[in-house]
Amino acid sequence: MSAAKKKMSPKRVAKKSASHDASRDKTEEPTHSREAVSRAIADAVAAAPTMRTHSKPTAKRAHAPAVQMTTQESAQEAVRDAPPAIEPNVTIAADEPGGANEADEPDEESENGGTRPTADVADRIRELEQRLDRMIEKGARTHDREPRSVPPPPSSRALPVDGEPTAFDTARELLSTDFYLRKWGRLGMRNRSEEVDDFGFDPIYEKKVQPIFDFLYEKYFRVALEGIENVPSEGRCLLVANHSGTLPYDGVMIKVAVKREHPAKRDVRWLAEDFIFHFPFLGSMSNRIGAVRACQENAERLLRKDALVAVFPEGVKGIGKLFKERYKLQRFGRGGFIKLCLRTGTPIVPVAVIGAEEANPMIGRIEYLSKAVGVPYIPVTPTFPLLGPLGLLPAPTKWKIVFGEKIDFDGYGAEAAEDEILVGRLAERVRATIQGMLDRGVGERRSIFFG
Amino acid sequence: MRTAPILGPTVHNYLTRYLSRKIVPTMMGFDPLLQCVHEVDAIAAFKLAIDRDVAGTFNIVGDGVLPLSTVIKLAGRIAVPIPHPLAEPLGGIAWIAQIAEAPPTFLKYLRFLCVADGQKAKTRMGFRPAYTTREALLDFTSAQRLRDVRLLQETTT
Repeated sequence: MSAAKKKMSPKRVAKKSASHDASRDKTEEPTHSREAVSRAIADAVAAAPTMRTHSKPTAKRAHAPAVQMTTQESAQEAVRDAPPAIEPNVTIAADEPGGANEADEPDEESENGGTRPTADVADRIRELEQRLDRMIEKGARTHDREPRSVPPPPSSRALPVDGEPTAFDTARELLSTDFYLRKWGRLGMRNRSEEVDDFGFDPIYEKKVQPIFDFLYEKYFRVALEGIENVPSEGRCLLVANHSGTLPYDGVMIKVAVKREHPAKRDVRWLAEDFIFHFPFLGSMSNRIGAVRACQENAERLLRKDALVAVFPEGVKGIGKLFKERYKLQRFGRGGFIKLCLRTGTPIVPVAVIGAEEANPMIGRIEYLSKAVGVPYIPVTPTFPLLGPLGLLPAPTKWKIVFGEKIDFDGYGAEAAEDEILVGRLAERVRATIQGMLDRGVGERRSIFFG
Repeated sequence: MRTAPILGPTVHNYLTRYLSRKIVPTMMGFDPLLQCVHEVDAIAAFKLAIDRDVAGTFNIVGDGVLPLSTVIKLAGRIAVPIPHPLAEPLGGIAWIAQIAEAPPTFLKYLRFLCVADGQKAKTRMGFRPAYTTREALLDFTSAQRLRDVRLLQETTT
């Protein structure tokens, strides 16, 4: 709109009215019958700004030379002569003064002189506006045409846009490093999704590694399920499970179990301890298959999106317990998961994982070296430091995952999250439920390896 | 106001310098999630903050996240993974020798993911990013490719 800033003091208005008169007279001469009309239009156009300047303080008008004052006056007379009914009938008339006004509006404020008549300015503005419209339209069209999940746009740029690609083009394409870089990029992306969610969950990558977990689930741990129907098919829900095994496979196994056996095939997002994400490969891999770094904010965000979230309130204490303490639930933190449920109105499904404790029986732990490696402790199992990394392989125990009855907290309301005593009591209740399920499951079991 | 790394055709910051080389160092086995905001959106957000006069801390982020590996592939670069115990001293040396674009503390961003929630800016400030993270990156990339083949000259130094 910088063109519109062209000045129009009373002096300019006068000049402009004159120029308008002249141009109109010239252009609309041929049609005799319309002559009166066109003259009226021209006058009206000329008068519109003139009338406005009349209401301005006279001090401003004093700048205008006397000769031009007369032109102004005559223009005014002309508009008074013109029948007012004519204006709405003629399309140009309706259009023109509007355009002129639009152009004039900012003019009254600015005082620096311009060189162009305002009619030209208005035309120019309109032209610019049209150009802008065209540009926006074009931009929108190209924007629409480009789908979200396309590979980098350069590929379309490097190829000849129109016409048949000649041998020369092909040769140039094949000789450019860019081509190989792009191919390399596509190769790297073949197993990865174009889009990941906010926590890094990558469906294509997950599908790729699925066979490994299927093997673990089906053949290695031979997981048996109980009460999978207690997991709701939709809506937010929190799975609260015991944590066990020196290496926490239980999160993955719960995920695989729900994905495979649940009718709704829901994706479980489980909250994993921080130290997993300090390991190379392990962290990014668990991120891609759906683990989320454990913290209240992440859990709350997930639940607000109506996700199915698995938590292990025991945390590191759970996986770090010794073999002699197996199937004894540790303290449930400060009941953070209960507060979460109360705040978001989420039901809890207690989950007991039986069999994971014996997969890597820990007979001791070394804690004084662990800081350097970035783990909470270094486990000592019958095989681990002895056989090297191979010793970390879990024993093929028979697993059983029990999903308990849903516990609802609807009756309490969000403000109950502030009540520490209530939170503690509810946490203790959930803990007792899971402990009971564990005790029953372990009691029913006859063999560690065959169930 | 906390903005995610700003990307766009005319921006110069550590992220654009990082992505402007053919070979990009990464941390072996780490694939952090990156969040960017387009320069246009960032400016719009600053203007909104001035106009609306809202108090508080706001995360200014584009929609969506991209893993670093995807970012590098979209930008058409070659990632060179460096084992993370080596990366810290190497980064320090490179920084002292003025080869590196950023001090070694920047390496933390290559290792751990840092994703911010822009919900508060959306609701309280009315900030709606026009570009997603991906679009911001592609916008930067297309300008960067022109720069690579010297079709686009820098007007300012």
